This record gives sequence, C-alpha cells and structure tokens, in this order.
Amino acid sequence: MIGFQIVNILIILIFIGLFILFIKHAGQYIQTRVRLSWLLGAYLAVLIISFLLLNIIPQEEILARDRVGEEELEIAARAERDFYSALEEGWLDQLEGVYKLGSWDFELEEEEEWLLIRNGDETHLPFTVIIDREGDPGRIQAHYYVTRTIFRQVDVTPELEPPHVSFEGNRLIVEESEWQEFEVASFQREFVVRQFSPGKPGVQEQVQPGERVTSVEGARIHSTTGDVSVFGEQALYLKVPEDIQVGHSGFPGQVRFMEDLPR
Amino acid sequence: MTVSSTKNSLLETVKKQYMFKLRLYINLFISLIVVQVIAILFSSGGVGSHGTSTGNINFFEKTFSSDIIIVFSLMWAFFAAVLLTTRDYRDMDFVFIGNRVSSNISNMVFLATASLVAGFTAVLGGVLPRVILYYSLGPHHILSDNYFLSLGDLSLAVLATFLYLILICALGYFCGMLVQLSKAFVVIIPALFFGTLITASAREEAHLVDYVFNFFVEESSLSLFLVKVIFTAAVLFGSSLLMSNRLEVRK
Repeated sequence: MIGFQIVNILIILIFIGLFILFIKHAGQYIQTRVRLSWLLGAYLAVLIISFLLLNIIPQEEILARDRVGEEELEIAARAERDFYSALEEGWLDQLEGVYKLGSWDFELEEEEEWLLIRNGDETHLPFTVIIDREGDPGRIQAHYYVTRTIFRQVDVTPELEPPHVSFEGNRLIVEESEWQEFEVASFQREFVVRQFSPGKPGVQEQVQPGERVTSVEGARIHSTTGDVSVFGEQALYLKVPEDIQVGHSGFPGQVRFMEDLPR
Repeated sequence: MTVSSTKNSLLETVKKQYMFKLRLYINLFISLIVVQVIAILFSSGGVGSHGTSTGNINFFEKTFSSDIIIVFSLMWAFFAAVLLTTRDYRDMDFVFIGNRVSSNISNMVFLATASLVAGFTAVLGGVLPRVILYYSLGPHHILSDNYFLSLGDLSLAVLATFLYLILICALGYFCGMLVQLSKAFVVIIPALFFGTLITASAREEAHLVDYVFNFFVEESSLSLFLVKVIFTAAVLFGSSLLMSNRLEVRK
C-alpha cells in the first residue's frame, strides 16, 4: 500500500518537474513578443466566439427534447408495471402509455395444421411472445407492443425498433432488430461553483423527481444521479387460429399461451 | 507630505514594474494557453461516463465539465507564482529603480491579473467542447441541464475560479519565498505535504490537508468564501513580503 503510494508520488513529482520545466521555457521558441500577443489574442478570440455561439444555439432544440415531466413519468412507470397483466387480461387498449411499434398479417395455407415460432437469432430475444388462440381462421396476426422507455428523463421510445418478423412455410421467424446506441451528453457546473449551489456540493444535480414518482407502487424506476429512467416492457402478441398446433424454438421461458394464464 | 510623496513614488514604481512585467512575462501566458489547450483536449472526451442497456438499445451517457481545465490552471498558477520568486525573475526587477516591496507588490498585482485571465479562459475553455458537441453529436443528444451558460453563470464561475487561483498563487508565492530563504524547503514542503497524505490515509482519518481543503471547498456562502480567500491570501502574501525583506537583509 505504502509502496504503491510512493510510486504515485514519484509519478506526481515527475509530472510536476515536467510541468515546471514547461512553464519556465514555454514561449521562448516564439521569438517576437508581437507573435506571443497574437497567439494570446487568437486564443481569447476563439473562446469568446465559442461563448457567443453557445448563446445563439436555439435553446428549444435542446430543451424540447429532454425532461419528460413528472406526470408522464408516472404514466410510463404505471404502463411498465401493468403491461403484462393488461396484455394477458385483454385490457391493453385501456392502458395509457402503450405503443404499437409494428404489425404483421400473414395468410396460412388451408391445410396447415401446425405452426413453429422460431427465434431467427442465436441470441436471447429481449421480449416475451404472448400467443392468443382466438385469432381469425387462416390468419396469423402479430403486434409488437412497447411501453415508453425514458432514459435520464429523455424519451427514447421513438428510437426503438420492432423485431423483424417473417413467415416462411409454416415457420414464423422472429429476429431481433439491429442493436442501437443512444448516446447523451450531460454537463456539470464547475466544481468551484457547485459549492455555492443550494444544498451541499453536487446536490444541484440530485433533485429527486424519482422519489415522488415512486408513488407508482411496484413500478421499476431507475434513479442513479437523480434523473429518472424508466425502461419499458416489450412483447410480441400473436393471434393464431384456434385449431392450429403451435410449437416454438429458441425462446426459453419467453413464450406464454393465453389459455394457460390464470384469469 | 513626505509620507504622501513616498506613497506616490511607491505606487508609481509598482505601476511601472507591473506594466513592465505584463509585457516581459507574456511567456507565462503562453504556457497557460498550452496547459489549458491540453486540458480542453482531455475534457473533450468527457470527465465521466456510464452506460446501461434494455431491450436491444444501449444507453451511454458522457459527462462533461470544465473541472480538468480549472485544475490544470490551478497547477499552472501555483508554479507560475513559484517561478516569480526565483532568482532569474527577481533579477529582472533590477531594470527598474525600486525596492523589494515594490517588486513584491507588482508581482502580486501581476499574479492577480494572471489569475483573472486564467479564470476567464478556464471557464470559457469549458464552453468550446459544448459548442463542438452541439454540432458533432446533435442537439437531440444533449441534456440541457448546465449546458447553457448565461452571463450571470459565467461571471460567477469566473469569480469563483479567480478566487481559487488567487489563493493558489498566494500559496505558490509563499512556498517559493520559503525555498528562496532556504533550499531545504525544496524537500521539506513536498515531504510535509505527501507525508501528511500518506500517514493520514494509512490511518484512514482526516488530516490537516483535509481540514485546510474543506475550510475553502465546503464554504457555501460566496461572500464568506471571498473573505476567507482574501484573508488567507493577504496572510500568505504578507508573510512572503516579510520573508523577501529578510532575504534582502541576508544578501
């Protein structure tokens, strides 16, 4: 432990030595004072221009996007909590905050007696498949439902994509859509200013809307730095004819039949 | 009348020396620019990040701030203040007719000016990555909290940074003067500093450096912080002035 600290201190001392040498000799290779002044002036100009540019950036472009309000957060959290019961009990249309991202309709051959739902990927699919046998004869209807996904109070639901669903022979092939990256940049006030913000240093960013939203009992709300995230639920809802045999492959524990569910 | 003319003469000398130093020590500002540009480059990748995923979407958040730029500027301020106490820099004062007092006061005024410039550029240095991110990442991927900086925010940040810089300059000047008094302090000061850190961390308890640090960092009132900084800087600069006179007597 002490040895590790000594190595750290040596590194710091070397760094400090280089720093001093640098400060002492910086500028000596630039021969004239006029050039030095120009360099200083140019640096200041770039910084001032960047400040002016920051202030002409349309604020609504940034502000309009983020900060989902508390009420919407509650709706999203409630939808996430009640999603499966609503889907399985048939009252999904009454649940606020549920979106249909994709729908497919396939015709079945008359003589088809069985259907295989196959995971077209080798990976685990991040949603459940619910099968309802009360579908129209000769047709398979698929709907992909999601509840809102809110990351750091930014609604990213429009970024979500449905899976790829295709029908070949008597196989319904479900494949995951491409993995998506959602990157956000957040900003902190300078540490020299944070101490003057109301409350303790750093608390400025720890306003806890999540605590108020947790009034939605049982909802999974993720609050790390004070900003709330609600990760939505997703499900592929299939309506198949009553008389068809349904099998599945590649969905360990992810396929549920409506008739098997407790009502 | 004599006191007044002496005061005027001291002020005049300080003013001349200050103006002279502003031109002569411009290389210190160049080193500040380089230090800040390096810090801006370090900051442009973000000072922190965390990620999570749900479904088939990866969320990744990067946090940006000017903290690294300010810390680098504080380090620059400390060593720039130390440099001003070295013989090379003190010898430059002989170009002017003056004394240790005028030389020290002009150094302090110069350090105050340098702190103001460094504070201003350090805070604005944090604005540049914001603008670049707006155009590179796009507005839809920027969380608005603390993104925009009003003139009031800017002024507060510059003032706070300036105060920290003044404090560090005073400390650097004081340490530099101690070293000029006796070269033994080149070893004693770092040994004391790091020694306190090592022993305290080994015992896992708060130490002197912690107390001193918290005295300033945990102050939530700007006016009280201002008083603390002015008082501490005055004590440190005043002590440096006394040490400088002693240095002159010894020579």
